[in-house]
Amino acid sequence: MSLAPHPADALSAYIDGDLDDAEARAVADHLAACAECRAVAADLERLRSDVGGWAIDTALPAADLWPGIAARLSAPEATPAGTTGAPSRAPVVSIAWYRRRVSLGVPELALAASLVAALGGALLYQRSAAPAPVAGPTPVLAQLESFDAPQAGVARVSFADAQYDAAVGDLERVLQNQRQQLNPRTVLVLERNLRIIDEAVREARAALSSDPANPLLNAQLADVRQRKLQLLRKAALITEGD
Amino acid sequence: MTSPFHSRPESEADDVARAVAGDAAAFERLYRTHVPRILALARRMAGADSADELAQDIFVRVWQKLGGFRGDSSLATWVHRLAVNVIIERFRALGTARDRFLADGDEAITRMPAPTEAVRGWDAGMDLHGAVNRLPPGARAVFMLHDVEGYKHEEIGTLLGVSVGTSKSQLHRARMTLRGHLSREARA
Repeated sequence: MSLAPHPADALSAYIDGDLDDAEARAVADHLAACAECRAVAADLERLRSDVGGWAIDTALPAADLWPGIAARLSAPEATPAGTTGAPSRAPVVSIAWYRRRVSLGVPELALAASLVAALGGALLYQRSAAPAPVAGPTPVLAQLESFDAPQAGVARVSFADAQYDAAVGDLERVLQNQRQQLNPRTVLVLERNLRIIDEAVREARAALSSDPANPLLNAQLADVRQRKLQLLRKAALITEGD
Repeated sequence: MTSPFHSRPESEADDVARAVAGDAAAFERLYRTHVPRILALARRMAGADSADELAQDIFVRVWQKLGGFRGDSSLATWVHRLAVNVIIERFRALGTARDRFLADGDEAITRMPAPTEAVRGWDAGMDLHGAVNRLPPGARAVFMLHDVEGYKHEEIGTLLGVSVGTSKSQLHRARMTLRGHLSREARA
């Protein structure tokens, strides 16, 4: 019996669960007989998983964007906040005119150096589960006004210390209990990355103790804590997968 | 200045009310709370070069539309959706959505590796962000909206003005292109 044609687009729809029963059975039958397509499907699933955690990433502008925004809020073209009419298009203000050199103090530089190391290492496992889809197709404007589904992305955890620490503690216990299932080299890499992240968290907290209102430090601390959580979640998923 | 890390829901609600009444200082606090997530979204969707300017556009739009926020969802969710719409509008204005969608897809196909070129897997530390940024704009938009932001094909079709089938095929092409990039990096 000759092999059915490769499923092409249907392969993505298959791993997304977007096919009806008959279509899904046909793709499954093909995958059972075609190692090439099984390999493609496995790669696509991994790709989807790897990017799933990007939705909770954060970034900071190279220069403060607020002066440019504030200038546009006061422009006569800007619609006042309390009105709900069609938005007027405020003229685009080039951000170049207020871009300025950013001077970083010792705490920021120390933290930045740690983060470079931490985030580079954490890339190995930083991505978490695929985002939960938003329920139901609705018109775009209606979504803006009324949708109440949770934001796409991995499950949220409050970054209040107690809840965050509890979540990290739970994941660390899962890992400790399951570590025999992991490749020893994976354990080494994981532990090394966790140490780097913990060091970055420690340094961020130390820097914040002398400059608690610094937005860069606060955002970076939140970011590195998120990454620790992501790394632990990913590792926990790996143990479940094994 | 309120930091994102220390912001509290009740103070955010107060700031929303004040901003709706025209208090720019309250709106600045909201901006500083939400800009890290929104800037990351803009970079993912549109690339680093235009992300800062897009973020400005987004927060001006938030200022304009904040009176319509009823609190049915979190402010973060509302701002995120609004931001996606502003970014898509930019794509449309630049002609990178509907009109160039098929051309983008064709370009992506030519860059796809033959199945036999692929190797097993890739290192998760590879430059996946860079590979995504090299996707054609239309394919990148569909990939980001579906696989990262969690939109359904029907929603993507509405946002981009394309059919559900086009959205699905663009997603597959984007994924296959990324697989090809990462597989080539794995061999290099």
